[in-house]
Formats: sequence, C-alpha cells, structure tokens
Amino acid sequence: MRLTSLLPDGEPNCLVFKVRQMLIMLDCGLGQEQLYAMPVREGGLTEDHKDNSHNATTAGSTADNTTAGSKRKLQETDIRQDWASFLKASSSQFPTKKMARGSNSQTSHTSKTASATTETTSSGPTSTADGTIQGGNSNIPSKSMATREYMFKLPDFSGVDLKAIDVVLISNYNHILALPYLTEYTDFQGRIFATEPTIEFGRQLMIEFVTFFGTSVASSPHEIIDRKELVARAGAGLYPAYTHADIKACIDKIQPVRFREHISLFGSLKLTAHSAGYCLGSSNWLIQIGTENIAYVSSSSTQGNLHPDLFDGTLLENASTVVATDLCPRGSFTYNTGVNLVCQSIASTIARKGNVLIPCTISGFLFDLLEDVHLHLNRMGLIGQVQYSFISPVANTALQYSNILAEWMAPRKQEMVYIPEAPLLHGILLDKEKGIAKHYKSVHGAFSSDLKLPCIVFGGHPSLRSGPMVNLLHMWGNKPTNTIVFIEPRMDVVAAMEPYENLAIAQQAVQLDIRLSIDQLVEVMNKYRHPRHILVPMRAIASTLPDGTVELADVKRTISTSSTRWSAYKVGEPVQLGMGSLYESVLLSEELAKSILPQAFGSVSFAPIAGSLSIYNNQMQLKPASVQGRQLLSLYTQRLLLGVMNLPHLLSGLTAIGVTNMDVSESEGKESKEDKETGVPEIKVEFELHGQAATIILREKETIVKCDDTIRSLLREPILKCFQSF
Amino acid sequence: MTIQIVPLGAGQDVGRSCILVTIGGKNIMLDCGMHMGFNDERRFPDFSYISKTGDFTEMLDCVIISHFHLDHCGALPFFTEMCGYDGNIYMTHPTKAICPILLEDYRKITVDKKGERNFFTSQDIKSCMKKVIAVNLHQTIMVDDDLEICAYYAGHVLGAAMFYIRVGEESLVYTGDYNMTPDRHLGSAWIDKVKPDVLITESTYATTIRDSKRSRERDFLKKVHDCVAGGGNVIIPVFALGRAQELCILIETYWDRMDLRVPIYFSAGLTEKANHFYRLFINWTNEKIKSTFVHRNMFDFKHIRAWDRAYIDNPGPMVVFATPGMLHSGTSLELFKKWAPDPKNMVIMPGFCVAGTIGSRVLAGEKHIKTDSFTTIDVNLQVKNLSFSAHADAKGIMQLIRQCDAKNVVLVHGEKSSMGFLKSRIMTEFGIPCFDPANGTTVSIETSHVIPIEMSASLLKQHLIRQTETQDPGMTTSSSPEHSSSDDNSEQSDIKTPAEIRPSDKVLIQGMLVMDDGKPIRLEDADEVLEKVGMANHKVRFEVRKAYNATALRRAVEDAESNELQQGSTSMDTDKDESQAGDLYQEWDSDRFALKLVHIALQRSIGKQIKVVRELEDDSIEIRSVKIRAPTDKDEFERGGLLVGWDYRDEDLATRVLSIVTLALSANR
Repeated sequence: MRLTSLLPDGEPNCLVFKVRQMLIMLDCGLGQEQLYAMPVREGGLTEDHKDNSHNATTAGSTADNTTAGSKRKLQETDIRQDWASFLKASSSQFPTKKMARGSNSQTSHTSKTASATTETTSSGPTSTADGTIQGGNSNIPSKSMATREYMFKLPDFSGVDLKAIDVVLISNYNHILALPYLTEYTDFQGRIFATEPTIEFGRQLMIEFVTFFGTSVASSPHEIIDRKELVARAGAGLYPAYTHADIKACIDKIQPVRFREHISLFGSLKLTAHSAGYCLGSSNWLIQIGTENIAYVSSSSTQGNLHPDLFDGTLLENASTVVATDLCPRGSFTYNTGVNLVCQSIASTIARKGNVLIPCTISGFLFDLLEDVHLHLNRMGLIGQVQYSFISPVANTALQYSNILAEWMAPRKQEMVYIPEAPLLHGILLDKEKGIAKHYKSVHGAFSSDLKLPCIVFGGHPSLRSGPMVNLLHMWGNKPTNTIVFIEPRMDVVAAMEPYENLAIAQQAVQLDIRLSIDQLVEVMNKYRHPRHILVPMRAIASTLPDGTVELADVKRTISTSSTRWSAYKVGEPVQLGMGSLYESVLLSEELAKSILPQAFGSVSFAPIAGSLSIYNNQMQLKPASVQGRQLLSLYTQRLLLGVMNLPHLLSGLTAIGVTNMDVSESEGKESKEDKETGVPEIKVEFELHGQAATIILREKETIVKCDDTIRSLLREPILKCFQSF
Repeated sequence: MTIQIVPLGAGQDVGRSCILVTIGGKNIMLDCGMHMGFNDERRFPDFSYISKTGDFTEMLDCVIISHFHLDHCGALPFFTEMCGYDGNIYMTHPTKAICPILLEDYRKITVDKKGERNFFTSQDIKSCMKKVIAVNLHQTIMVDDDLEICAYYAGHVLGAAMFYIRVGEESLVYTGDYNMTPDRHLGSAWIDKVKPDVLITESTYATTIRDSKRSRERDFLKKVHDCVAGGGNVIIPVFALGRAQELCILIETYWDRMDLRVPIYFSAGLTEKANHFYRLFINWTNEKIKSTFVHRNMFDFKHIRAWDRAYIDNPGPMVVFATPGMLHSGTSLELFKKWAPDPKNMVIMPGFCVAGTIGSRVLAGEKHIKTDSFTTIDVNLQVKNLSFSAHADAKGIMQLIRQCDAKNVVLVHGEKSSMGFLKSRIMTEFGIPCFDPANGTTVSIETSHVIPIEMSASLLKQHLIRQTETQDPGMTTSSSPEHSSSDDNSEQSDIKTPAEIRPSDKVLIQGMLVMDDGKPIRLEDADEVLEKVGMANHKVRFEVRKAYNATALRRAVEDAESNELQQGSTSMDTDKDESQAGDLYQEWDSDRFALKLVHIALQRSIGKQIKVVRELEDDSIEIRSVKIRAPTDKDEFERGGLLVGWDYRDEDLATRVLSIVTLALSANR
C-alpha cells in the first residue's frame, strides 16, 4: 500500500493510493491558495465590459486594460503581477504572497481614489478591474492569449501514471475542481465514482470556476483558441481554466452512486460510499480489496443539527487502514459557536441599514446558516426590511436542486417532505409571492433594479478575485456601515482582502468549520474496532504538538492509541504501508463443504480440504475436483500425523492384528545405517507377521517401519491409531 | 438450502399482493395489499397463515412494500395496528410520503361513507407510517447481520421499487409492479445483474407483447379532445395523488402541443399539496424532467388551474379533474349530477371503483342511478374506463429476467391463463424453472449454497506455480535427459491444441481449513497452520520390500523383445541383436533392470504430473519422499526385491507408486 498526497495540507484533497494492483485516486481537487496571488477580475466570463466610461486605473485593477485596447502602466509595482513566477515556485510555499503583502502600502492610495470614483456610481454596475492579466511587466515572454489568462497549477500529477489509474473516488464537491483536467487533458481512462449530489454540486462549482476564472471570451470573440496547444505551450505545469464543454464531457464520465450502494469492480475491488455528514451527498469511501478494508475518511462532520445525512461510521467497523483527510485545523470556530457571531454581525449591520456581503459558494452548511440567520433576524424583528440575494451563475440551480434531495438529508429534514414541505428553508423564502429571497446570475441586469436595501448577498468566489463580490465591494466597500462576513472555512481572509485593504467596510471573519478535528477523529475511531493504521495529514498532528495533547505525538510524528499506528503524510512524500496477512476471498461450494471432516483442537477446528479452484471474473470458487483432477490431487496429498508415538498403544494395536512374539529392544544411539543422527534413543520392535519379518523403530519424532509390501497395509492401522491423522 | 415462497395474495390473481418468503432462515413479507373487489374478510390477506397466535413480529424479519398502490400497501395499517406486527417495514421515500394519503382516502370511503366498522382509523395509519423505514435506491440496507435488501428503480409509479434480498449467498428479487419502457414522467425499471436464485415478478400483461400504453393514451386524448371540440364537458374523477398527476401531465403536454385553450381544472385543496409531493421527489422521475426542472418544473402546470365552485355554471367546454375518484361524494359527485344528463359530456373513470359506489354503478352501465330516496341521476353522458397502470409487457418481463440473470422465476400478480402462456415461454426460452403458485400454496426452490472463506494468498501462489511447472512439458520428469524418453516430450508438444494454450482457469488446491469461532474460515497451508498452533507433526517412515521374480521378469522381457523382432522389419540385423542380448546377459543385474523398468513405467504413468528423479549412480528413483532403490546392505540383499521407502505424508503417492511398481514388475505384462 502506498499513499501519496498531490496537494499540500489545507488545500482540497488529491491523493493517489496504490493497493495491490489497483491505483486509486482519492479526490481530485484544485489548489485554491494560488488564487490569492491572482489579479482581481470584475464580473465573470458572461459579463461584458460594457461600462468602461470611468477610468479603469483603480484599485484592484491590473496594469493594463485590454478591453480598451490601450495599455497603461501604473507607476507602482503591482502587487499581483508576479503571480506567474509565483506559481512556478513550490506549491507548498508562497513566497511571493508574502512579498505581495509587503508591498501593500504602495497601492493603498490608489485604492482610496478608486473608492471615491465608485461611490459616485454606486447604484449602477461598476467595471473596475479588467479580466485579463497584465502583459507589460509579466515574466512570461509570450503576449499571446495564453499568457493573458488565469493560469492554474494542477495537483502534482508528474509522479503518477495517469493512464494506470483504475478508479477515481470523489468525496464531495470541494474536491472535484481538477477533475476535468484529468479526464479531458490527459490520457486518463479509469472510472470515476461520486454520489449524485456531489456530481451536481461539483458541476455547479466547475461552472462557477469557469465563469469567474475562465477565458474571457468577451475580450477576443473572434480568436479561436486551441486549448490543447495552449496546454502544450503552458509549460511549468500551468493550465488555463477549462471550458464548459470540458465540464460536460467530464461530468458525463462520472458514475453516480448512492450511499451504501455496493460497487464491484474487476471482481476483486469493492467500493461503498458512506455518508460523511458534511454536505449533501458528501461521502467517505470504503475500499475493499481481497480481504483488506480501507476507509477513506474525507471531509466529515459529526455535527448533528445540520441538514446533510448523518455521519455513518459503519465503514470504520472493519477497516484495517483509515486514510483521514481534510481535518479541521485547531482553533477554528465550530458551527455552533460561530453561528451566533454570524447572526449577530448580520443583525447589527441590518439594524444600522447596512448591507451584508457573504462570499461563499451556494451549497454546504450555507443552507443551515440561512435558516439560523433568518430565525435570528425574525427574532430581532428585522425580517420585514431585509432581502436575501444569491448571486452566482448557478444560484438558481443550486437552490432548487438542494431542495429535492431529501433522501440525502438528516432524518429531521427528511420528515419535512412527508408533510409535504420543502426541506430547506430557502424553498419557502424563494417563493415568488413573498419575494424575501431572490437569485441572480450576476450583478448585472435584474439585480440592481430589484435591489431593496438593506440586502444580504450570498455568492461570489470566496477568494474575492472574481465574481459578483468584486463589484459589490466597489459599490458598498467604502461604507463602514456595510459588513463583509467570511464564513468559508478553507479560505485565507487576510490574503483575500489584500486588494481591498483600505476599504472601510467592516470585516468579520467567522469561518465556520464543521469538519472533524483531530480530537473528534480520535473520538470517532475509539468507537470502532481499532484499525491497524490511521493516516492523517501532517498538519493535523503537527499542530497537536504545541498544546496540551502532546502525549499523542512522539518524535517520529506519529501518535498512537492502543494497537493502532498513526502516521502522517505530507504532499509529495509517499507513505508506505505494509499489508496485513494476504488473503483472497473464495467461495466454498456446498458440495465440497459437505465432504470435509473437521477435527477439533480446542476451540479451533481443522479440516483438510482438496478441490479445484475455478477462477472466473476474478471470482474464485472452490469446488470438488473432477475424476481426473482427483487422481492428480492424490499425487500431491500430504498426510499429517499429530501426536507422540506411544509404545504400549502400539504394542496393543499390533497384538490386536495378530502379532505375537514381539521383540522389543531399547538402544542408545545409531543402530541402523540410515540413521544419520547420533545419540537419539530409539526403541526397536521386531516381529513376524504372516511369515514376514518386520521391524518398527521408534524415535522421538520419527517412526520407521520396515516390512514386506504384503503386510504393509496390515501394519498401517495399529500405527496410525496412535496418532491423530489427517 | 431452500427458498420457500407462499403467495397469500396475488397468487394467480391481481390484487392484495402479499407474498411470504423464507430465505436462509429469514421470513419476509413482500407487500401487504388489499383486494379492492371485496368488502369482507377476503379484502385482506390471510395473515393467520403466518401465525395462528398472532406473534407476527417474532415470525417475520421484515415487511417490504414495493409501491403506494393500495393493492400493495392497503392492508399495512391493518397488519401493524390491528394484527399487532411491530417489526421493520421498508419502503422508498415517495411511497412513504404518498401511501398514507391514499390509505386515508380509502379509509374515508369505507368507514365514513359506507359505515363499515372494524377498519383501521386515521390514527392507525399515522402510527403505522411511523414504523416505516424509508430507503433510497441502490442503498444496501442491513436488516440484521445476515439479511440485506436493496431497492432498484421500477418505474411503475413515483417511488415504485424492486427489491433485491440477500441472505448469505442466497438471493431473491421481488419486482412489485414495474415498467420496462419509460413513460411521460417516469423512467424505466432497471436492475443490476444480481443473479438471484429466484425472481418473483408481476405478470399483469403476461400475454401483451407490444407496448399498448402509448395507443391507449392516444385514444384517451382523442376522446377528450373530441368531447371538448363538440362543446362537451369532461369530468375525470380521481384521487388526489398518483394517477391524477400522470393524467395531468398527459393532458398538459397534449394541450401544449395542440395549443388548446379549453380550460382544465383540478378540484380540491389537496392538489397543490399533491403536486408539491411530486416536485419534491423530482429525483424519482425520469431524466428529462430531472434535467429541466430548474427552468420548468413539470409539475407546475400551465394549463391546469384550481377549481372553484363558481365555475360549475360556466358555459362551454372544460375538463375537470375532480376528487374523490369513486364519485361517492364531493366535487366529483356534484359535477357528475350536473353533467350526467347531457350526452355531449363525458366521464372518464381512470381507476377502480369499490362495489356499491356510484362510480362502480356508472361503470356497470346503469342508466338511472338513485343516490338517495329523492334523487335519481339520469346517466346519458359517455362513460369511459381507462387504466393507465404502467406494467411491463411480456417482452419487458423477459427482458428483466435476462437483465438480472435469474435462476428461477415465480409469477404472481396476473391472470392464471395468461401466466401459463408466459410460464412456458420462460421455460423454453431461458431453460429455467418457472412457477405460478396459487394463493396459499408453497413453492420450494433448492439453491446451491456456497460458503465464503478466505484463502491464504501464498497458498494460492504456491499451487499456481506447481500447476504451471507440471503443465510445462519442458519441466517434466527426469534429471537425466539422456535417459528420459525424449519421444515422450515431442509427443506432448505435438498434441498441444489451442485449448490448452489459454490460461488455466482451474487450479487444484490442497490445504487446511481453519475454523475458529468469530473469525472467517480460512484456508491455509497445512504445515504452516499446524506449526502455528504448535501441533507436533510426527514423522512415520515406511520401508517396504517389494519382492519380484527376477527370472520371470527376464523371461517376460525376452519374450517381448522377440515379439518385437518378429513384428519388426525383416532387414533387422540379427547379429547385432544377439550381441546386444549377450551384453544383456553378461551385465545382467536384476535389480538395476527392474529399476529401469519401474522408472519407465512411472515416467509414463505419472511422470507428466510429478517430477520423477532418477539418480544416475545407483539407478534409484525418487519421487518426493518416495524412494525406490536396490538393496544395499547384505541383510537386505539376501531377502531380495526392491526397497520402497516413503514418508507417511506421501502415503497416497506411495500407494500409487507401489501399484505401478507391482504392475511393472509383474511377469505377465
């Protein structure tokens, strides 16, 4: 067994797992950290940069404005222009980011002027940032389309034979973004499994990704881009965002499964998804190969009061190896502690007639948060004034789709459909007549005309580098009465806010993390029979060291409880694990089973067995052998005698078959020539039967019978009676 | 092992589906339906068959309901609340949601309208549904440690499911009602190739081959269209859920396509709620509806509006879906009274009507129906009866049998005569046994039972290596190639046919089964196992003198040679022969000669399967621990004969070798 992580800790999962002959990829996420180093782009792919009337050289914008066609350079060093060289750097460290932070002060004054200009046009859609990447100061020499796009560093596929991957398992939508690269840009030809909601939410996330970070079609509508060429030219492992066509092709390749559906592959590999309790359709996978059970525990939550189906721990029951990923870092807010802060922060903003921006994807615990927020506002009597807006290219789909997934929800939510009522609150809020909540594809169009202040806006990309939040920050960012609330757990708030550092908008970072923490993981593990191995991300263990629970950790970076071995893995460093005793599962036919004669030795029974093992579709069945086979088998039959030779027993046995005149002599040492050992005491019994002389020599672990062929079968019985034979 | 199947209902009959199954020692009830055609105790299945004393909970391991039609779930509240069954009940989510509404509707008719007693109450329905465990498709549910069930999409109605049931290695599939062709709002039934020992399938349309549903739909739409085109009103009495939505979709899409403006109404407040059920269970409809629902939900009807009583006097044609479905009360009866006298109008009865209701009398063709002592309705309007139940036809049933690769088929839920036809077709086409038991009769099906064990991989490898070694002709036999019969080898390679070149799919295995309580049964190498448990293996060595008659042997050989000579070509040089013979006499060593004979005999008989080693210096032969040698010391020499020694481990091999030796050395060969 070998496990290799292809993305650093804290990023989405992407692991490659080799067990026996199978190569399994666990999740296929795209590193999100790199986004922070990218320039801000307003709107998204679907947007036209129609309103360029006011100056584009504002904060958050990059050095040139390709839509206008004129390139302007700012005097200041742009904080983000070195993103390309940054990306070439190791993915686990982000030196340029720190550098970028250092140079913040230089851009600060432009940011202020920008805010001033935006304020005047606050009601209309603003277009500040351009969608492309600077050419002037770029380290990349080519100024073709390829360089003017957002480029992404993929998980480190270099050490993996992608063609040899048999199966990809996706645990939830957070870890799926790099999948189209795998399926559409490489010679990968394995199978992909995910639960139905994971596929749908994953698809939505991909569409968001393409809309926010994809090729800006508007900037060059007539230029046809050869994507493959682009990829080839990309070098340094940088890829542009994929396309809508790629998404469709990729999604079509995923086979939908449901929880506890048994999938059998190649006859020897069994896969089962178990509910992880993290989001709708989030799954942990049980991988059974031969008699080995491996549990892949991805983002999971044991939090009981959320909408997704509850965490199903049964996959840990017989697991010998557990691979745990995506653990919650220490010191983060749990849902219960954080939700009140979020509610209060929203309520106080609304109370002072401010707007609330919540950058997040429209899925996961947002649906629960929405209920809590609504309840809180209701209690505060603020409900009448507020409007919820969901802005995302997939807002409508996400909101509608989530409400038909009652089967994937916690029992409490499932009950709702029997009333019948929409299981998630937003189903009611979105009701057209009430108009409390609305959804928009983007900030352009209906959003501004519908706008009723104060407003709570959900959506956009948490990185704040693209999408509607960029526009909204320019619209509302200057007023300290407004608040931006960060709730997504995986993001870096400081890095995200870097381009907006001087905005007056109030910031509240309450990153709700419902994932399992290392302590919760230990707790969960203790409920089940202990696996031999538990693999956790390095960071999870490393962070345990500073505070109290050091007794779990030792120098070798492993923590152990009872018989279980804990080890840590790290990006790019394969972890080798020994397999247990190797066993294959075989079916024993009834016919053959009837023929065996078990003998008990204490609590254990043994039965010698011989048969013909037929192998069909990797399924092995042991059946009685054919006549020919039985003949052949008899040549190989190995008989066993257990016990110690007992002289009186033997003598009485011999008497019983009619032997008289036994001559028993005892000697010390070698008598016969065959005896090569010296000093072995032996007993010699000589007698005659049916006129034929015979000798039986007894030694401690050996008995030698010398006789004529004719009386052999007669002698066999009394000898064998002394032993337990098979 | 046997699987026993007893239909308590739906055996050679349609209605009150209830099938008892015993599989691997587990008792399972499949469906718990009522018969709509009876009002007496025959309405419900005969539960006393299960237990005379009523301890159903103990007798049954679980109850599985396939879908929400009353002939499949109607008796459930009766069974749980009045008979006292308290065990597990499984059904899909939509079934769990919709079934209580239908039960309540039915209860109202039988109790409130017809004043029947001894029927379950609303509370009974509620508490019954509380015991239900909802399942998702394809999700494997462990009922207990041994019994697992898994639901597959059946397509018949929203939430209809087929159930795969497995205990150990025995398995069974119960289809409930299913449909193999997708329709307007549902997909087609689908199942994995689960290879069940028994497939229990419905056979409603056992003799219908072509899909007649489409044409019946067309027929229905045409009638409705003709009626409204002629200025008539159409009333369709329905229950709020199930068939009503199917018909709504049907008419809605037709109206859409034909661009009709005739209003369609749907009565009763339940409608919105009922449609809401369908909206929430979009996942259970077909792919097309699923993929478009975000933009346009199929169950948000454009043409169908809510009914208002004031509309009753509106002029001009209209289509009204009115509840309840049997015309016994409410809007449907009111409308019927009003419209019945006009022959332009039409009533379409899409479902079954309980005997005694106005609906059933209308269907029976009565022209004057007395609703009470004061009113008589003159029935002049056109009466149509249409059933839209989506069932698999004969082709579909055959398709399902093929799809799941069943080993036995049991037909239920169909007419006896048509079942017979299908039964013979299944038996001839698939060559598998097929049964059509009547209610209360038992079908017993023998299954071969297999026991899952774990086999040590090293043991398997060891045997695989042995197999390939012995099968490879180059590796066989002697360590002295000049002595081995080289023509044997060439023969072997000559007869190698393509069939032998393929990888072997059979390996002969020997080992020791280890059975330890609580652990899986394992197959291991015998020596290793015994070593592990510390059992002393005692070695017993036999040494046997094998006497033979040297003179007789020699004579026999000579005879054989002279025979050969006679048979051989005449040009054979006799001198040479003599000299050879002379050599033979001079160096005659009977033991060596005998060993040589024995070696050839062994080589021929078992040499292909096992390594026969011949030592050059003393001609002794070794086959594993079996050693055949000439006497060495004086004592042995005096007695004469060959000496055969072996370890008791190889007793079987030795027995075989001894018999070959005997044969080889016998004089008359």
